[in-house]
Amino acid sequence: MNMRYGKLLGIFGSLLGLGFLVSGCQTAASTTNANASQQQNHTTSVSSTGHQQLVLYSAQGYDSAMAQAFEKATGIQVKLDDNSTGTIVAKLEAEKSNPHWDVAWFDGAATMQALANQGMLLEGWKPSDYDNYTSLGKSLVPSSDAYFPGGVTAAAAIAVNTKLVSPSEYPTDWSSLLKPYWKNEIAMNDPAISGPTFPFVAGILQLMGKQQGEAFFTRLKANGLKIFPTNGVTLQALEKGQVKAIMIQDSALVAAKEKGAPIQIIYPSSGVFTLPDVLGIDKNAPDMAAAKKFVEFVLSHQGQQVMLNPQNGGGDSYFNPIIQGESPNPARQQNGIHWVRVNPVQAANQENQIQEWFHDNITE
Amino acid sequence: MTTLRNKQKWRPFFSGLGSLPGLLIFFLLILYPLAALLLQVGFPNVFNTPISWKPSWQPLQQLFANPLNGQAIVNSLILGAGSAILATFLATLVAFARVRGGKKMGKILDTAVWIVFFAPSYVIAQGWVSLMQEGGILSELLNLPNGLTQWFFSKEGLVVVMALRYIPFIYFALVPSIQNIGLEYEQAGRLLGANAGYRLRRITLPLLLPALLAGASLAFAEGFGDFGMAAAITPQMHIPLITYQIYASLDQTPVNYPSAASLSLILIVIMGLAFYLQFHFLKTRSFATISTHSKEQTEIRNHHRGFSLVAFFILFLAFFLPIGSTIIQSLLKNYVTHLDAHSWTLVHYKSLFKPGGSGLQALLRTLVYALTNAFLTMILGLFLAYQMMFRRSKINQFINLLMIATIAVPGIVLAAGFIFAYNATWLIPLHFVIYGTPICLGMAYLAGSLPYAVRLQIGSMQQVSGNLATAAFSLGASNLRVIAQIVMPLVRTTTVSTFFMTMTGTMFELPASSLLYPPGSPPFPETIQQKFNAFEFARGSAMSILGLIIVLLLYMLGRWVESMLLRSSNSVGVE
Repeated sequence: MNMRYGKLLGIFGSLLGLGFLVSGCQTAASTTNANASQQQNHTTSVSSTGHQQLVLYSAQGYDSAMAQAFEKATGIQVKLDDNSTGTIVAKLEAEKSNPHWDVAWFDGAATMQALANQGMLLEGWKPSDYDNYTSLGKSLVPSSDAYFPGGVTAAAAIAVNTKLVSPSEYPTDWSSLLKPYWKNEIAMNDPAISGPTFPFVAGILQLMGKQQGEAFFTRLKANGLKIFPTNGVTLQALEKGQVKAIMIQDSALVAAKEKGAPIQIIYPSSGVFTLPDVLGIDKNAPDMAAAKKFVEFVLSHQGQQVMLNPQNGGGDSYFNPIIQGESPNPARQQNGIHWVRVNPVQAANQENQIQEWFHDNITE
Repeated sequence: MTTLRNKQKWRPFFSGLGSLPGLLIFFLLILYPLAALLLQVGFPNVFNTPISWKPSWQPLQQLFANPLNGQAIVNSLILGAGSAILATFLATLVAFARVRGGKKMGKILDTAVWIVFFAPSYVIAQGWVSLMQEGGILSELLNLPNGLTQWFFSKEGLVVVMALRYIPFIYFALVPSIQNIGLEYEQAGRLLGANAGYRLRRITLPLLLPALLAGASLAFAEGFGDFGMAAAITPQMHIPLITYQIYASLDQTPVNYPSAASLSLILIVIMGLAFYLQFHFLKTRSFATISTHSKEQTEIRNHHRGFSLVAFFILFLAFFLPIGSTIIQSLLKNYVTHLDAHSWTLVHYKSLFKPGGSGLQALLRTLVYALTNAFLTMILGLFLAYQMMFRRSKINQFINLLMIATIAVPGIVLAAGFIFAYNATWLIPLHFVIYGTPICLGMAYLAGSLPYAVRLQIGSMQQVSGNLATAAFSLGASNLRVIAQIVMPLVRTTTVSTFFMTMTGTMFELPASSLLYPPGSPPFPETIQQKFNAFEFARGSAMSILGLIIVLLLYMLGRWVESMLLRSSNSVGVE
């Protein structure tokens, strides 16, 4: 009995292993064929197979809804890889010599600029609806046209817990938080971990100047600044009264307020820093035509409406539109925001050095 | 007699052939992907466009130039060793309570340890964090003032949490060994007048050493290379760890593969060294607990209540606290600021079962991956371990050492290696670019689970004295027959364990899932992570709990099947 059991097991196992390898080869062969032919001659592969396919790597909350809407509008099939920005960039870098993606979409112009610096992105092409950008929108498009913003948020705004802070104490600018009133009562995210926080730190250094900016963070630390990993933890600290004020991405603040968190959002008078969601097209996109169509769809009224619906995008839907005629979700403050454009080229070049300084002097 | 001699003459040839499949599996799953990544330590631009084979010292120089990396390595060694030692101590207590505590107690403890094991690192870690953080669930329940739970976010706190997490590794290795200790050894001790303490110290524990070391080395490897814990807890305490440094160089912009490769190389070297020392130590003596005339340890009647109580307390800490906190989290409405009667909802569970929902699809997808991978890992793990134990050759021993050292390689590193390896341009003319297909993800799952399976199987096979197999071979038994009649019955428990361990691992495997999944078809762990990334903690917790329940049900089914098999084989009368 036992012997038969063992023999059967052995035979079954080897069959399975064999099948595994064979099917591996077959699938591999067919995929690679498709890939190779797409790369060599994209147009013929599309016309011969009759349908196009968009491979989208995205970290945006509304990406799944956008993929569906785009499929419906164009008939082009979308293969979505929904991941965190870090994982997406890791994949893009690893695939560099044999890319599988058509469009990458995430928050942070500096990160996208770093990819452009390596020559990974399509340059010199403009979407047909480019002229619909507002002036703020146009200011966020790089001169190389390597990537395009779909909307913009503030990398950080200030939020206070309304149950603990009376309106007369509300801060008006970043420097208000240096007052003794806020001693041990302020928190922000770790820029090494939280994506939106690096543009905030880089923005402060750009706005105040390197020395003044570093001094600002050093004084904040002396005033008891707490560093939490990401938005979720920092928000929770505010809601539970561990701190009275935090500095995080404004769309996350609007989302929390909409869900009933007792907070007031304040846009500092000296300015908040632009954190656009940006779309880049792979220079060697397997399906270039579909990639271009998708970017144009994001900038269209139809696309923007999908993105602006919190049912589709959660917190990411509370962005500030930069397309003429589009208005933000009513929960979002409409006026009185002073935007400061963070220079993505500079931020990308200085990222290592800024991150290291922040880690050694503020986080530790 | 002539047939026997003929068989002996051919044996070296066949055993040489026998290492070939093992070698191939090892090469495709581990060596090639790992090499593709590690190559970048010396050749940082080998996967760049254009490809450049120019060697460079830069990655290693950068590695040593950053003082954080040195601190990280030391911290990780301390954490790994500390948690392995504490885990070994705790697991030994639980394992003895299991063996000495009667049948019912055994079943309860087995299941409890399995559940601890089912729970993936990041769910446990997330559970601890929401329990212990300031204003967290513990402070809410007990009305603690701010600052009282802060001790938890320290090196010591992490050692405790990690040790509790790694109990199952040692427990699984230990229980069969304790059960298999031939009674004659202990009886001999008793006859010679040794008291219980002396027998434990001089007979039982030394005989358990291989199992203890096998378990402890796995625990050390886990602690040294654990991402789930590191990623969830360390950001809150700002202590550099090597896994976190690797994670940071891969998952935070700017991405730096050569740096990740260099750090991984150090990880592998340290782990290889640790395992080599362990093998070297084991080689010097025999630890076979099962000789050719063993008597099975019959059930011992005097139950130790103290043992059982301690075991339950340990498992309570290891499991009920973090999982309980995850369950609470999954039942909470969004943005609850304090707990009261109105804080609760089932909506997060209901939404999972929406027909056609993406969560359900991902779950089914992952069940297929998990079952396939568990099956392959079980078979191949048994096969490879057997090759290494009973078909000793230089190649097999080399594979063994390398494969076990790769246990320390964090999943994210191996997964990144898979991208480079199976998306390489030299595979295009061969039509073998399998990156982006389910096969590639499946292979990465297998690569992650196989070394564990081999390690655990070797641990249990080390108990079989070589004489037993040699005797069988010299009597002309075939490979298959030796496996089926001698090895299988002894390693059955471990084999079943391997199956479920792998299945659970795959159900919740994150790094390979997120780096390698075919676009458009996310597996379950990836969708859980997407919820956590979007700060939908309640939804993510609900999905984790659902996954745990499914694995638990399958485990119970598996135990039932195992007991059926056991009964039918006993009734035929095979010893």
